[in-house]
Amino acid sequence: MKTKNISDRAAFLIKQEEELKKLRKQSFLIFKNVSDGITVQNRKGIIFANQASLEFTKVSLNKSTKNFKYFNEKGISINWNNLPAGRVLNEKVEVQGLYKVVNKKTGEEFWLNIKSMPIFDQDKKLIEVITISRNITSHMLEDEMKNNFLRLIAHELRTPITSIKAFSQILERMNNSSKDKKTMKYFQKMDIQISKLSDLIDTLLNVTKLKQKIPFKDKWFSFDLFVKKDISEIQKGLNKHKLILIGKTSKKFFGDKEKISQILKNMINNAVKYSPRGKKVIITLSGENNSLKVAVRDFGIGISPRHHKKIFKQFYRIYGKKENLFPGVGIGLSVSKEIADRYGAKMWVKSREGKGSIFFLSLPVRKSKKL
Amino acid sequence: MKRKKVTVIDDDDAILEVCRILLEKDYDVETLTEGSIILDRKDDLPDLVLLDILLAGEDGIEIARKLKENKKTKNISIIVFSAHPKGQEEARAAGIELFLQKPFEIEDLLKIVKENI
Repeated sequence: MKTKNISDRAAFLIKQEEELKKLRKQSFLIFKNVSDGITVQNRKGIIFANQASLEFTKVSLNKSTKNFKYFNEKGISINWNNLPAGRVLNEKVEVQGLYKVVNKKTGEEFWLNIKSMPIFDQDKKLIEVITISRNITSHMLEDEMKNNFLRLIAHELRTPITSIKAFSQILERMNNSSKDKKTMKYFQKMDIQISKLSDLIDTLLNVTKLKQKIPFKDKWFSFDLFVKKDISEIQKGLNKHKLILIGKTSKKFFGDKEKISQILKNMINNAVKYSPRGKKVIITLSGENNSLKVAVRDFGIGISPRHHKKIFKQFYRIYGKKENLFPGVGIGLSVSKEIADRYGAKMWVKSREGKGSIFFLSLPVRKSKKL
Repeated sequence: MKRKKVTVIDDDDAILEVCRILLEKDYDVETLTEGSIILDRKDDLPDLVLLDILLAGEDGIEIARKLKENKKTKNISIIVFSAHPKGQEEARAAGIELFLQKPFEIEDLLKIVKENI
């Protein structure tokens, strides 16, 4: 009986070992042939590097690091210790980022998405760092080409708009003395539509500007006055909806008026667009110690909770029985969110289908300046 | 009193026409599609140049730079107007502070010309 047990156990162990060998072989082949660079290192240096990492990554290999210059996503030069693997060794948390690597000798540039993860032993002591690097150079170049194209298109569209807008204003001036109220009304409507078109192009341009992290033109301004003025401008272009402003922040804000106005316009225009049967949009302002809040409420079709986070992503559109009737490309909210992010602000929505929506913007105030 | 002269340089005919209509009431207006013409001129120089950036041939920024370098033309007021998103940055880098973003309001064009001529 005892002998049978021993031979069973031996057979089990042999099978286990074979399984392990097979698994090791599989892992080795995967690591060897995968197109992402994979390295494992401890505090002394690299202990494993797959073929892909040797071919393009090189950044994790101690001997090669001197041949390269590294830049973070903002284009700031960084040293090897500030790459994810180096940071994991110091900070002991997972680090991920986009980095541009330049070969000092050849001038060749490539972009890597690098993710490094710590491995701890039973005593929670960091023993190794695993780094996975993906070459995203072609993706980044495509992105750059797309942005340049958008910028060019926006520029080409702005040129004819400049003369259309100016001619329309010249005609409006020429007819200003006439008593034909209808003609004047049509000129004004034309001017509003041209401004809308111009705003759309600005939105398109902003997508590329934001990606390039172009600095904003920040200045102090009275938030309540600014919102009041913006609302009155938007109201001029609306036929049916009444914009109602409630409350005040009593604060000054340090920011780029044009950019904040873009968020506000987007929130209000969305409220109008998605409440075709609604007659009013309520804009509520409130101020807290270190922040100010804008809430835009409509009484329209509403949004199902499953879309609440996704609608802030670029090109995200909701397709449904009701919503697919609305035009748009899905960049307004994503641009607003990107602008908000630059100010450390938050944007979110409370809504239910058929019950309307409330979009919120909460902006941190750098210095609480009372008016 | 002699009327002041404004030269508008833009490769878009419609923009040139708009500027002529708006400015000719108060100024002598000359419109050019190429900037190099003004660089070769020795007299009949304008008091103010309204200059686009993207031009056929020599670009507006280069023309602005040459106007500023030349003794005869260095005191001419230069306003760069452009639809280019980086227009203001480029103008500033060339030492031109006066900038008008296209599309512009006609009041803004009249104001910036009046204040700087």
